[in-house]
Amino acid sequence: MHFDLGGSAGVSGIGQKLRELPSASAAPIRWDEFKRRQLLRRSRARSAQRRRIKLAAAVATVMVGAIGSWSRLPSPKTILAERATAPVMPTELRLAPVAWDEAAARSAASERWLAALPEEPVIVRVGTRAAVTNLEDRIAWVDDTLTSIRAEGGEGARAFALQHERDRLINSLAQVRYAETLAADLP
Amino acid sequence: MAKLVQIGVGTDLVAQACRGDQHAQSAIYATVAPATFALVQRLVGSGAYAEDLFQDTMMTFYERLSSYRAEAPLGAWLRQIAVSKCLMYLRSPWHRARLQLDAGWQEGSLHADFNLSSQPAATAESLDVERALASLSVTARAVVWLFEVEGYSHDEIGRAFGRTASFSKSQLARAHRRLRAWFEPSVEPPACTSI
Repeated sequence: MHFDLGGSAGVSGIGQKLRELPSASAAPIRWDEFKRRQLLRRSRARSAQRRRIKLAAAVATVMVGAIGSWSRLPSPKTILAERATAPVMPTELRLAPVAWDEAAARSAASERWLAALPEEPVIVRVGTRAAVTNLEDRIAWVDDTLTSIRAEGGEGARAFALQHERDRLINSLAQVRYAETLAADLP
Repeated sequence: MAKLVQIGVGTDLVAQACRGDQHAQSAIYATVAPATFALVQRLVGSGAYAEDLFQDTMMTFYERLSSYRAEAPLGAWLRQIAVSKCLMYLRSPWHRARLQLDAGWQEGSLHADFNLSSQPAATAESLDVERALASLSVTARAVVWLFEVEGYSHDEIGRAFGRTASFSKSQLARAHRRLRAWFEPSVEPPACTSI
């Protein structure tokens, strides 16, 4: 199959007809209106950029804070080792059940908020995803250890330390996930 | 009125506009805007999109004006920006989705975007040519306009569409066949040679 090029006279006639069409049309907007829209668009672009910078700074601050506090936490193994060698806390000096309940309530509130989030954020960022995965792994490890301790009937200082550690991990996770949510809302 | 590619502006005026002189910018606008809008309308049809693209083109033009080196007429430089904006729009997924939505239109009917009454200075003589042009698909219309009127080569058109020169040639051949059938309805265009 090939295209018929025989009618070259017709083709050139068509080209001529097209070239004779008017080459100007009244501009849809006058200069004043164009200038006004141009300024409006520039100011919108500037404010959007400022908003993005502020949001990025906020996200970076939250992430740095979360990662910093997370990295300062001793590992659960270290805590357990320290607790194992530490003298047993006298019963009367242990934290009151109210404090225990408060820590658990705080942790439960963070967990409820985390549960309401989707499994994966809208935009997956490698940096935060690695931190989230790491925190989730550590929480799972603490949960396993707590379950074993409770199964053995131990509810003492080790369990309390682990519960406290879990609370801190959950809060760190909540902060990182919150940062992810903010980042996903960026325009 | 001269075509956009032929419009030149004095270097003094351009220099003043670059320095932010409002009068100079306004004078340049008055000189180039009508031909720019006409070109945008030829490439994408009439309607709100043409106005948006025109505005976008002019804003980019003023933003980049300081980089204009006067190696070609200012109109030719502006034409590059306008054509690039229009083709970017024609290639956008949003535009392709709109075409699918408009698929209800019969083949050969005037394109929804193409309002003859709003075409550049429609006169009785040009109306028939406008109608013929409007019967083409958006892509074919852009190709035929760029080749026949703006003087683009097949290579340039193919590159601008992100395709090959063959794409431009086949679009142009089909458009010519359709336009010939429009202007000479009694002549059956033998499209292909049967084997």
